[in-house]
Amino acid sequence: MPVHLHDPGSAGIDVSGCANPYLIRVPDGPGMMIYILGGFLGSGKTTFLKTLTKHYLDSGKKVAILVNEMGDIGVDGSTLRSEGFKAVELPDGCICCTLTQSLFEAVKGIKEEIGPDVFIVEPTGLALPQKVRDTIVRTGTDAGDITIIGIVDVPRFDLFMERKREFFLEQISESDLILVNKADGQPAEKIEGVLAVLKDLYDVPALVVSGKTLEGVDRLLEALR
Amino acid sequence: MKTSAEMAGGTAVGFKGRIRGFNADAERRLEDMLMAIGRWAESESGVMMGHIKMSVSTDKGGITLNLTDMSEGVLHHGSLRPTREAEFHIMAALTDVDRSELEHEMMHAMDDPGVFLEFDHRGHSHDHSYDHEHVHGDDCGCGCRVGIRDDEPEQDPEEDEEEPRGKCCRRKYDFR
Repeated sequence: MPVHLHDPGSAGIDVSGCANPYLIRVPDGPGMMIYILGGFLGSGKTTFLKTLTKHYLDSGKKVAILVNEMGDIGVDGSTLRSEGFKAVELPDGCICCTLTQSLFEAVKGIKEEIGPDVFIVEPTGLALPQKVRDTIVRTGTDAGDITIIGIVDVPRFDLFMERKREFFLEQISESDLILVNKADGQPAEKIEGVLAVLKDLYDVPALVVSGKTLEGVDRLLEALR
Repeated sequence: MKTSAEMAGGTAVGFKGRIRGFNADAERRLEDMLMAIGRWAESESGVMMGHIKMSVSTDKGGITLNLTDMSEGVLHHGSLRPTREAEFHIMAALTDVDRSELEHEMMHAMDDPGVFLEFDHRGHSHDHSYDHEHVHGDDCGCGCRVGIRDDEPEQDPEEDEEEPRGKCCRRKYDFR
């Protein structure tokens, strides 16, 4: 998957000779595979975090999880622990802006102490995932691929477009893959409408899924294999 | 430079502690509590846009209650058998609401949910319409007469008609 950087030079990456320095690829290699799950509050990020984690654990991979929540007290870390997942939790701020230093240190620590094959990051629903990616790149860890998975919520898509359009579109603007979630029980024309808007704005694959009924999840996992 | 939360007009408040006597009835009451916070957000900004979530867990399992859409209601995930004590975490991340009002409303919703909630750090303070600061404590029934510092002069509530803080108190409680 390509990594798009606003300013790759500042991330310490040599872009000399690169035809398009704003569309570069972090070299494949033995580094950990990183997924950043972006999406607005309540779009279903935690559900897919668990889906991806189970998938990779079942495949025998070593997985590390980092969850971030805006509140001084988080809920996801507790939920994940109660379901048997081990997660690093960064509460009380946003790892894309106010907690970038904490993210920087956490990523380095995870790489050095856990050395996972797969590292999944769930920022808050108020974060810009591309900024999270840029911070991870700045850590200099030998990341293999960094993939931003944007998640949009079909039932509330029109509401977000009406009330938070600018932020909402910015949030998914640098996704490498967009999951059109909560599609179960939604009219086909509504789903088609969401897909049409996304296709019009972004040149990335969009996959219709449901974290609840697991519709489309097989295709997601196949795509990430 | 704005943070992303400021760009989105969002804020979040969370609490944690222990719940005594968790069972199916308590789970339903917690659901009502989340809905009460959601209804407040709806009344504040016209629509509840965000995520109100709560986890209740022990070392034997846990549940998560999620509210993202008022028309859909609270969604329950996981399972937890009736237990004498469990840990809870609750967080509301919402847009277009005032943070201190949200904190205040959550405190009210949790004051009397019909379930015994014991907070880890309830030493939380916020402003009320009387321009005093009060601290919610275990004995606080939030009648706004508890916890007022002794050196605070009593004020006539009519003087505070234009004060934006403490709307929920004015609505729910007679604190004269």
